[in-house]
Amino acid sequence: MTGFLASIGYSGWILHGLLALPLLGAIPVLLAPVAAARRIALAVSLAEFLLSVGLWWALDTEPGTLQLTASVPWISAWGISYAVGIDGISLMMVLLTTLLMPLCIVGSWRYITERERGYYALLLVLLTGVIGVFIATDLFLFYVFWEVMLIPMYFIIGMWGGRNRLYAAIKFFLFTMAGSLLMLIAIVGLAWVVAARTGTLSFAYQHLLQHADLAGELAPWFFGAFALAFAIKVPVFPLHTWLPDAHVEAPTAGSVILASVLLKMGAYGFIRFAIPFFPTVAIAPVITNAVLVLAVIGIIYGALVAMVQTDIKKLVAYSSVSHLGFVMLGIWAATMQSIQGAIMIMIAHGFSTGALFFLVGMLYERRHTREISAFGGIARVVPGFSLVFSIVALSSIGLPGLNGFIGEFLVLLGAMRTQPLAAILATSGVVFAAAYLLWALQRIIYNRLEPENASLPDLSRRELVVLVPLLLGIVWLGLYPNPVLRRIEPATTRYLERVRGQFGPLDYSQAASDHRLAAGYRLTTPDPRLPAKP
Amino acid sequence: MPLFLLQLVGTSAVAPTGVIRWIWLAVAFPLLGFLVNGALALFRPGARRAVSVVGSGSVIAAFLVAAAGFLQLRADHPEGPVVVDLWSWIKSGSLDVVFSFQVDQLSAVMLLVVTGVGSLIHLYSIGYMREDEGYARFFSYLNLFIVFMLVLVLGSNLPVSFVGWEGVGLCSYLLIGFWYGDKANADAGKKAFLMNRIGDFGVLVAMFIIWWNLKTLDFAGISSVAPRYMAEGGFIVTLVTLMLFLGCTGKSAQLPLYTWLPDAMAGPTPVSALIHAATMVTAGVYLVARTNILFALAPTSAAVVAGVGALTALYAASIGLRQYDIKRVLAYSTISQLGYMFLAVGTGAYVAGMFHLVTHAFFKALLFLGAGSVIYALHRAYHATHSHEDPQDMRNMGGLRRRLPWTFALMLIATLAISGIPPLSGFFSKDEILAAAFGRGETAPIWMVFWAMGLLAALLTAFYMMRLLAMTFLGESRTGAAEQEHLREAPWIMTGPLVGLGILSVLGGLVNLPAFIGGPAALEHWLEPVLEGALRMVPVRLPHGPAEAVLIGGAVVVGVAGLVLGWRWTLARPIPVAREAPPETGFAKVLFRKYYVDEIYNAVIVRPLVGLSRWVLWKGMDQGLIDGAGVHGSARLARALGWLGSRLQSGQLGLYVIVFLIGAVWLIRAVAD
Amino acid sequence: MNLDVRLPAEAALALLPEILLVAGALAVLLVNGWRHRTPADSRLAGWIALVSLVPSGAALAWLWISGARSVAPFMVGVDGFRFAALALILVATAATIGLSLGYLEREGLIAPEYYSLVLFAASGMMFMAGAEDLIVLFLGLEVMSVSVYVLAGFNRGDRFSGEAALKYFLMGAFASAFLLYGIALLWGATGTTTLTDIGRRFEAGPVPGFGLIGTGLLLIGMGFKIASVPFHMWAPDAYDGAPTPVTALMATGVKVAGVVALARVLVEAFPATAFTWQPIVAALAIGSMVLGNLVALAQRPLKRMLAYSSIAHAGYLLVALWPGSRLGLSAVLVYLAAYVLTSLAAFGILGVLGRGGERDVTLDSIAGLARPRPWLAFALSVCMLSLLGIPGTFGFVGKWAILAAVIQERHYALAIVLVVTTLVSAGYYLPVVMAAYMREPASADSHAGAGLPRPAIVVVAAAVTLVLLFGVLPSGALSTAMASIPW
Repeated sequence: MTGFLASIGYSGWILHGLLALPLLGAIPVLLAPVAAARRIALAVSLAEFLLSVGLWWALDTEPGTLQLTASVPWISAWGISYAVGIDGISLMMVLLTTLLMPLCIVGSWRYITERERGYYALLLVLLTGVIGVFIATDLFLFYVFWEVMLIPMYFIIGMWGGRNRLYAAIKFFLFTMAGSLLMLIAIVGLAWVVAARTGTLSFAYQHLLQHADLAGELAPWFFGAFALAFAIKVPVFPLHTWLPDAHVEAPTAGSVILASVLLKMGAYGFIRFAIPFFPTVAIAPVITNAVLVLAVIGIIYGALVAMVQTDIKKLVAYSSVSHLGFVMLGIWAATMQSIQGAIMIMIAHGFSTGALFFLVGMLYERRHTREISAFGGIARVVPGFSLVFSIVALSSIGLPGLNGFIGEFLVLLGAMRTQPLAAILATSGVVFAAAYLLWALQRIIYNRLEPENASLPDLSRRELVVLVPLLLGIVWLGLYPNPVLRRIEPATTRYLERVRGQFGPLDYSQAASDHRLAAGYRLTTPDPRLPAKP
Repeated sequence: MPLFLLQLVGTSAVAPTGVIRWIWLAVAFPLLGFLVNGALALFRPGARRAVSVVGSGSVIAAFLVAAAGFLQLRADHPEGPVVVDLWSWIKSGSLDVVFSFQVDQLSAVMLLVVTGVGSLIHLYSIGYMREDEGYARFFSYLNLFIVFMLVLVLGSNLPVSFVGWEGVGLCSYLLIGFWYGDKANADAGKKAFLMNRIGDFGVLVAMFIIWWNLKTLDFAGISSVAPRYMAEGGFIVTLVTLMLFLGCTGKSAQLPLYTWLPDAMAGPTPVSALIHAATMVTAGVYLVARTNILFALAPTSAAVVAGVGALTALYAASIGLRQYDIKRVLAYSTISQLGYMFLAVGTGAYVAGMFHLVTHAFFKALLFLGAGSVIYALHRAYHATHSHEDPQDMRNMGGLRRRLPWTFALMLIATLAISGIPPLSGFFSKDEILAAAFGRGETAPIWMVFWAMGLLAALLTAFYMMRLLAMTFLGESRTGAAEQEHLREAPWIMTGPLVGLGILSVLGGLVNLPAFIGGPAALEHWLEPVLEGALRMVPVRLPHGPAEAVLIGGAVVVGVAGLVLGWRWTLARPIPVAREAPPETGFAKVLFRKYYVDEIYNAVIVRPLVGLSRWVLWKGMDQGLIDGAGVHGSARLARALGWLGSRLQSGQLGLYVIVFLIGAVWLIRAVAD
Repeated sequence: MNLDVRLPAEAALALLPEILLVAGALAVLLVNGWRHRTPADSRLAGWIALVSLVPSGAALAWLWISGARSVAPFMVGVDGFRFAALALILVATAATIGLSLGYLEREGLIAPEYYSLVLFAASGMMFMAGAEDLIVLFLGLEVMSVSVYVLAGFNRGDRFSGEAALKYFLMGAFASAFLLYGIALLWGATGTTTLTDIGRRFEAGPVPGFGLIGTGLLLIGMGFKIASVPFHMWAPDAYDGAPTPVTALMATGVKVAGVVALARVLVEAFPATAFTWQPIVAALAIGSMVLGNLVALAQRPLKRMLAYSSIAHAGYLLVALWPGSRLGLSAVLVYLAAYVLTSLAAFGILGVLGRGGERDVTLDSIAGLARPRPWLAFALSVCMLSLLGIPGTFGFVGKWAILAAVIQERHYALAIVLVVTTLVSAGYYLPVVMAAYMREPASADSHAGAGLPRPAIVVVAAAVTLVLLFGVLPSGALSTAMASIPW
């Protein structure tokens, strides 16, 4: 495999190809006859996916730094360049995106009945935008992608969404823009501050990362601006209220992309930009505690609110708030396990929540309602659907052996080290997660079969094509996550070295030197490298 | 696994030899069975024969593998647990969770019980579920349960065992709600899962703390490094053990998380026998035995375990006195017997605990399957006469000994066994537990209380078991004339397993014949390598000489007394049919309504939580405060200001000039100074 | 090439664009003399006017490319800043004429002198933009204003048009008085009306207090022309009432002239007293951004909404003026370019969406525009997103330039106000896109008449293309702007 890839100079052009292909692909989609549009879109997205898969082998994640970097001057007057690069973490995000997009297109096959051309073209543009966000290594470029990807999503929600789509669309737009505009100020400000000291005005990631400490007393403000933009995307309580509306109103594919990919951009932004730029601010006790509180609130609050929803889609939407709370906890617990766990949750959530939205969409296509009360007992008539639904729900609950468990386990295990209280509180989330999902599961597929559901058709072949890949991922990541963990570990180590400074990755070897050791532990936790007690 | 730690200690894991290398087959066969049956359930629900063969065959195959492994282990009794590494599961930094199985004396015993009893119950189910439309689904679930139960038992570290731990919970959920068409059943399943989840919370927290303190999650590693790095009776080890025990109370239906088990009787009876009597519910006891070293290090927790066990034993037994649903009586009996086991392991008498676990698996499975046969008979009778009586209500039974002689005989055996009548299996195990508690009491008085509770519970046990037997098989038949000729013994495929279990219930005592009657105490010696660490720290002191004799005599007397009382009391006055039964009154009602615990949980926890979520968090916080006041509020504010501004644009030129002038004056002032 | 503006010949060379334009205007008038009856006549006049822009543009190009510089500052500036402004003004004029060609016929305004007025206005703007001397500035301003007053009221049939003209005229006269008085005071204080000399006197030492007063009065007059709060009151009514192409000219040309002239005055005459005028400019900027955006939020007619938004954009431009740095001035040019292109397209499209001055074109009347008129809807959406400043459009580049300029001076307050008010503006720009794409048309044939006449199509298409082009590849525009700052 590696040899073949080398022979075609794969690593030389892949990143640019990934950005260009969907954008160019959108043109024929727009021009083609309506009937052919979705086929072309599917072909393009599949090609995109097959191209991206090569990265799995071609990318050398060992150094933990950005690889396959390329930089071309773009607006040289301002030291802005088209610069891309990728490491283990962004690799996972890119692959998640490229895998989901074809599924979204297949999933929209019947759901979208009007203005197909525009719809599929927008999906492809969105694909470019999202990938751009994950691989951009120039902050201007990053910002451009970050904003540009708003437009197609805005149109997808607003044009093909549900009854309340206009409200949801503009809410989504304004929330995101509110954060990102302040981030824009921070980006420019940071660039100028660095330029003032170093004499070179540049928006290159590495350059800014190297000199970000020059921000001095401005650092907290800059961090705040970045954090706000990312926190809205994550979303962190109480900035989450755009999410239920957007998820519910968006068409199935839109919800899937939103949940599986767009939310991850927030967490990714924290790991890639906000925290590494201003580590001293980020892990300052006051910030850390604030984030931890919000994260724990998000976990429990999201779960409780999800529990009482009457609309399945809204339930899933709130569950995302809960899941992403674990991600925030993992990031701020800042241990090897918790960070890797956070990334695993991001991936797992992409699979299971994406699948959940697809399933909800399939229910909607059959009954044209998403009210939980409209269903019940359908396990009898649609066993296949119910089986898939149950598996996905269980993975979302975090049943060990499925993908959801790995991330939560790592996050909580890692967090127990640095933030025992938050970790214990967060662990209670596993109970609530079971509560809302099992209750929903029961009210949908169990209980008495209502007559109007008696003749629902089971999963069609097309729907299986959408779901099976996700199911395989759910099981694979649950039983053998190591290939993924192995690829993200070096980058995580680098990240922790930068963030925690002398504390290092805060793994076993640092146990003794870690000052945040919970007081309760100190008495009874000697470093095993010291001589044991007689 | 982190070898650098295992080097520190004596008992390090041993490489697998011979057939043990293939122990994973014991899991693979039922897994295969699950997949095949699952596929059949989806695509060929009609293929009952194939389902029966695959379903039972795979479990029997697993039993054979287990037996082979057991013999191998006996042949070359290694000094440490034999660990079979399968693959590296989760590796992150210094955490490396290997998906590996551990075969040692403890897991071997459980392995035999699970697969052995499991096989018998699978066979029984072939008959019991014959007419059910979900036949294939049932067997696929049952196979899946065996898979997870074996993973739980074999797991060589906490995470892997946790996979099984949660997995069996899942299967229990699926099987309790097997007839999901009825909301009550689905509710019961959900209740079971959630209660277990509360327990799992404890297990997870315990895992995390153990990891950061011992840097290992392997059972071997824990038992070897815990004594070095966890101060005896320290905060950490106590916290860990209490958290673990929280998990056990969920899984093994102890106070306060027991309420799911009686509801779990909504599942098919073989499920109650296999999952909710013989195997899954004993996982908690197994977990404590597995982590015995930690509980030995935490005397407080050990006392809690014993106390909760004793209390549950008494409490559940008291409820059992006043239940009429034959399966519910057995359910509370199970809770009570599990309490005995926790009393044992809490006392440090792990052997007694495991011993009772094994014998209980035999006679309780027998009781449930027997009850199953009774229900089966009544169900068919009522079905034949299109009557809608409750086939599980003992008030509709009576006098069945003539119609179901085999079932009667076997259930009689089981009743005597559970009541601790020598020389049946229950006698030995229960006696050993009480003796151990008494012995511990000589040093720690509180154990005397535990012992007394245990003894009282034994009385109640004998009482309600005899009541069950009497109401079901003795006295006059209350089933109704029309049904009489339809009442008949179940087919051999169901009775056969009953007989097998009957034999085991009688001879189960041989597993660990105590020394005082010259027995070899086989189980005790067998388990020694696993328990030596804990036993060295907290030795089990059994009373000797006359005290011992008195104890044993007392226990037997209590048992007999209970039986006699139960018999007389039940048959003293005629029992009304369920339909005409008068409402319960007084304390009897409190017992009948299970001390109203479910109602209390609902009123205190469930409803407030849902209300809070819906009205305060969702409507209030989310929609009211954040969206309403925050988001929409600011939007409205902006629009309002804009509106005000546009009011200014009246079109009156004079106004324009005035505004202009005001601005001009301000600006001039600004430049002037 | 160096030009000594003091010599008549070379002055004539330096003023070639203006001269040629005025000549064109006269030519148009001449033709009108005996051909002013049929629509054909007015069309002819229009085309002549359009053609007459070519020599002027050519002259400008020649001056610019040959890098003409004046050896000494006198009367009119000869530098890139002026050339850039002239180019924008010519573009705006050409576009206005292009839009008018179809519009006037549709509205039945058969009056060829319209085009000569447009050209005169343009020449006035050009003088204003180049003025090195306050007198020249004033002359240019008046030439421009008078023509625009007339243009605003050109639709004699429409009372709103007349009202707009009257208000604009009265307020304008009022403001001109302030301006003139300010010039007088400055002359009194410094004894000169040449910007650079005034600057030197202010540096040299203390000037009489009324010198500063003069500065203030000057600011008021200019603030009126660029419609900045609190001297903006005329703008909504005037924009609203005037024929839409004229509104386009007012929003673009007039703004360019005003802002460029103001920039030149502030940078050349009052660098020494920055401490006095910078806070004022900041205040005017904040006021314009806040009020413009908030009030625009409350407008239903699109034309009025755009009128208020143009006040907001004046605020953004003042933010760019505030630093007075090279970067700031280049940002001024870039933003002007972006705003001119976008507004021309926006008003051009607006012009075909309604009748009788488009005062009644609301969101409802463009609902579902995308189905029958996909290109029109697309162009409109691009304009709105560019005005909003979404990456990928020229508008974003402009905003970015302004932010870069003001943040370089560490004036974060202005930057934050700018982005926050931008967020507010999303509240009224997005609904336009939303209405065009996401709502259903009122009736099946509600957009039947909405077709651009051919010349207008050219204008809108060109503008939108440039907006997108410079949005993606802004490097050229930015470096040009940077290079054309003489100070």
